[in-house]
Amino acid sequence: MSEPATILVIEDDPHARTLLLFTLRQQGYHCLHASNGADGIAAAIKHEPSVVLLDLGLPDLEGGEVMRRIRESSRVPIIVVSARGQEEDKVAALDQGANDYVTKPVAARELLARIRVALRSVQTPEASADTGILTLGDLAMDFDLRRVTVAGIEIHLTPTEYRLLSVLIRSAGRVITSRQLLREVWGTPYEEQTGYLRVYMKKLRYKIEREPANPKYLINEAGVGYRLRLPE
Amino acid sequence: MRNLAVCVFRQRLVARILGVNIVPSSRNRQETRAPPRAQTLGFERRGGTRRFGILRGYWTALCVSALCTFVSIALSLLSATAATGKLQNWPFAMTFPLGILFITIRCGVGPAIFMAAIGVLIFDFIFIPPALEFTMPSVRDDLKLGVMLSVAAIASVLAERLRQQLELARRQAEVERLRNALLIGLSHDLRTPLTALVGAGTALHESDLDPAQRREFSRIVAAEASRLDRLVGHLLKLTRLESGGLNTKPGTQAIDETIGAALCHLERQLGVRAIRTHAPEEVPLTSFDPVLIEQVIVNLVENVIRHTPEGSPVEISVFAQHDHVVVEVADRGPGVPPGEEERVFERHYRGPSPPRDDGGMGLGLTLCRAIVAAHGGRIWLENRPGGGAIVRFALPVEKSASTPEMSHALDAGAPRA
Repeated sequence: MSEPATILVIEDDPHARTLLLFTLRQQGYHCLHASNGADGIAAAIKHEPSVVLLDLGLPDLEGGEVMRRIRESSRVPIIVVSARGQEEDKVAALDQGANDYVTKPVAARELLARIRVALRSVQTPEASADTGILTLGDLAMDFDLRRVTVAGIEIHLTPTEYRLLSVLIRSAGRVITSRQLLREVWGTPYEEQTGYLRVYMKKLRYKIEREPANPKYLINEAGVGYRLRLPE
Repeated sequence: MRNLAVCVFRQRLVARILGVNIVPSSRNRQETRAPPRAQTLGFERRGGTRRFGILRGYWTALCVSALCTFVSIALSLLSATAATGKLQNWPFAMTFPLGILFITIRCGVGPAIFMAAIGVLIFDFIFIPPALEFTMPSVRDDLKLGVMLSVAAIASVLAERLRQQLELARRQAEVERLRNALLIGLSHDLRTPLTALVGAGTALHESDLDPAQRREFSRIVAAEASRLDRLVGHLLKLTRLESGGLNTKPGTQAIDETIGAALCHLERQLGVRAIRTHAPEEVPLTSFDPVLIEQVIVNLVENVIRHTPEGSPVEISVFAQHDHVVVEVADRGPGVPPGEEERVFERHYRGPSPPRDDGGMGLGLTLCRAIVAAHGGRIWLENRPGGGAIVRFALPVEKSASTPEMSHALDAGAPRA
């Protein structure tokens, strides 16, 4: 890593904060921290960190409010680190603009992997991925020719399947909620039609994955949405 | 030889009428070394009973109709000799609705309506003059028939509703029983890892330990913490099971997807173990709570990891059988002592040789059973021919599953910008 990325940790529990900062500093990241929402928002705007780790249960402000206020002036990736593990909480946070969500207790490996994904998305802004060829492991997507290959073999996809895969591949590594996927592929009126999504994801899995029930790329997060897994 | 064939045929016919599939008893089955798929017979017997149960219902309705007719004719004759010498129809009007009510409760609405129709014909044939002839009923007889039919219909609907409620109540009681057993135990179990954590943590903090001791105590802290994490996870899953809190929408879940999600979570624990999955695309979408069913699969695979040697493979298959989707998790471990296939689902059952220090608490399979029961399904274990165990669970597929066809229409549309 040429220059250490700056990570802002917004967490009110002192023990959790100490451990997070320890883990991050050990990896060579430059760290900032705040113990409440107001300080966190101020730090996020002033220091322009590369990633924000946000706890949802802060003493002064709701996590959603913190995210909204940060989003008003910054597109910094926000990773929610929360003890609330129910899918509704995850979906709400992701729909409110979080880039990713990890549940406490979180393993260091897992957290660091998510941070790397977030940092990568900063380096390659999503908009630029509409042309060229994107390759993940043996899966390749040619946006110019609208062609998808797995291990060099062309896969025939219907227009809907192609759109679905391109949305997933553009945000590879992070979870996209069912609602976001439905909105992007089918349009806002279809936001609640999870049945469509299930049917098409199944088709896509059976076309792309060697073992659909033990997938390499198209990972489901129960009750939340889907993630296109980056190869290790 | 011929006699034997006739005998078998007759046996089959009787079995078919009574709605029973001829299934070898479990002991016979083990001896005859049935092919792997045939092991699901235990399940087929259940599904089969329901399938033939429909035929059985109509057959019973026919028998009860005959009985009612005989009884009412007998009563009619008795009362006729006493009074006017004319066949009375009130015994029929009394016994037949009673019979219909019985059929409704036992066999459901269809056979009851069938019986009502038979009743009308018999009534017309025997009691409406001219007797022993089919006649177009007069307005008055029409009314009688109409009343009889509507009584039967109303009773049918009420009885059917009652039956459904009873079934639901039975299922809820079962889930409740399992849930309570788990809750009582869990809150106690939480203290075990906590005790170890407090002890090891205090020692690390306050005592002078040599490096080897420090390492050992830190290992205990890490192991007990993840055990606590698992227990709390189970506790949270249990709260979801509370009184019909299942998060299901008809026909919206793909089982292969949930298996994939479970395997993704288990990736690190699985290590180098070979996982083989077999999930045909035809297996229909169905409805279940994906978080809970993922937990079932995670628990089953964790069990395999815990009870089989490292490197021994795990096989997961899915298939559709009658109106169920069946998932099976098979291993090549030591299996379960014969006769204990049911006991493994009991709380705190940990097998004859509890595995190495792994934080297992004998909870996993009990939680699985509670979750599957809450879905109206069933879970069971069988020893595998050639060594190992198979746990299967079956989830009902509802009739009104969403059809992929409706979304084909969308696919045909022009791509959106």
